Amino acid sequence: MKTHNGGLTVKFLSAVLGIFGAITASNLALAASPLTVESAWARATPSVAKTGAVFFTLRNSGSADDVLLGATSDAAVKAELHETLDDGGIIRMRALPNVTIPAGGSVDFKPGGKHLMLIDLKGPLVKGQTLKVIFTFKAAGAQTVTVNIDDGPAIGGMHGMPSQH
Amino acid sequence: MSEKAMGETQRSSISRRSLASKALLAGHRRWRTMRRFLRALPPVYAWVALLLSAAAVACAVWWPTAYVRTGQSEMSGPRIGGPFRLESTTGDLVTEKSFPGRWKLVFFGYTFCPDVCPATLATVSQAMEDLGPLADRLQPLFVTVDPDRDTITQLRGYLEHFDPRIVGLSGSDVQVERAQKAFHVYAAKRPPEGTSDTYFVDHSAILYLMNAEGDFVTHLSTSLSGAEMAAALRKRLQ
Repeated sequence: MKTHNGGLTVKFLSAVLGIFGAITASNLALAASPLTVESAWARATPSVAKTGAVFFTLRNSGSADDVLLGATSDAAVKAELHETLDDGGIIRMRALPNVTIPAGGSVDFKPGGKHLMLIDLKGPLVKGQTLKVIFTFKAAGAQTVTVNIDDGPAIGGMHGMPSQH
Repeated sequence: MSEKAMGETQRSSISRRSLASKALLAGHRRWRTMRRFLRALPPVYAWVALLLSAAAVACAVWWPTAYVRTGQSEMSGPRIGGPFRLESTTGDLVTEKSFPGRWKLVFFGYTFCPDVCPATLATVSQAMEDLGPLADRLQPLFVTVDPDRDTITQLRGYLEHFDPRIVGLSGSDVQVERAQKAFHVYAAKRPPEGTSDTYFVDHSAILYLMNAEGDFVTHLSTSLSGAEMAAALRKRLQ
C-alpha cells in the first residue's frame, strides 16, 4: 500500500514536473528572441534633474525587420524615444514615434544621437545603481532590461561605452 | 686741328648747346603751360582725387563704426561678446566685465536637457581637472536658455553634480535674451509634443573662449572629449 501510494506520488509529481517543464521550455523558446538590447547604460544625473537619458544598442539577428514601439521605466513617469540633431551647432531634440531595427542589423542609441529620454525622474540617477526599462517591440514583444547608471563618455568621444567598473 | 677750327667747333657746339637749351626752355614753358592747363581743370582731376580721398576716409572712419554698431562683417564673421548682466549661482551679478584678468569659457544650455548639456558640463569638468593649476586662469560660465525653469536655485542644485568652479547664470527673459544676442546664440522653445507637457529648447551648443580682456578668441565644439578640450585650452592659457 505504502509503496503503491509512493509510486502514485512519484507519477503525479513527474506529471506536474513534465507539464511545468513543457511550459518553461515554450517560454524559453519565446524568450529566445532575435532581438537583443545590448550595453544599456544611463547617464548619472544631478539631484535636481527632471530628465535623464538611456543609451544602448538594439541588435536584430532575425530575418525580419522589427520595430521598437516604445519603452517604460521604473525610474521615471514617462519614457520617450528621442533624437538629438546637430544642425550646424544648433542642438534640436525630436521625438521619434518608433525605431525600425533592420533584419540582421543594429541601431545605436548613443550620446549626441538617439536616446531613450526619461521624463519626470522619480529620483536622481545615481552612479553605480541600476534602473529597469521595459522595451516593447512590434514582433518580439516586451523585454525587460537592467540598465547600469554611470558617468557617460563625451558626445562623439572615442569610446562608445562608458568605462566598466 | 688749327686753333681757328677749334674755335669754330666750340662756337658751333655753344650755339648747338644754346639751341638745345632754348628747346628745353621752350619745352619747359610748354610743360608749365600744360600744368597750368591741368590746374585749370579741377572738375575732372581734382574731383576724382577728392572722391578717392573721401572714399578712403569713409572706409577708415565709417566701416569700423558700422562694424562695432551692427557687430557684423562679412569679412570677419559675427562679433562674439558684448554687454550682458545676469544673476549667478555665486550670488553676485555677472557682466561681461566680471572676473577681470581671467579667461572665460561661456556656453549655453538648460537643466531639462538630458543629453548634450550634461555631457558638455561633464566634459568641461574633466577639462578643468586636466588643466591643473592652469584652470585658475579660466572661469567657465554656464548660461541658461530656459530662465523660466532654471532659477538660480535650480541651477545651483544642478551644477553641484559638476566641477564646483563652473558658475551658472540666469536672469529675466530680457537679461537672458541680451546675453544670447551678445554671443549670437540661437534659442527657441519648442512646444511639447503629444500628451507631454514638458517642453525642450533648441539652442546653439558651442563653447566660446574669451580672453582676459573679454575679447572672443575661439570657439570649441561640444563633441570634444575632456582631454581634447583641456589640450585646446592649454594652448591658449599658457
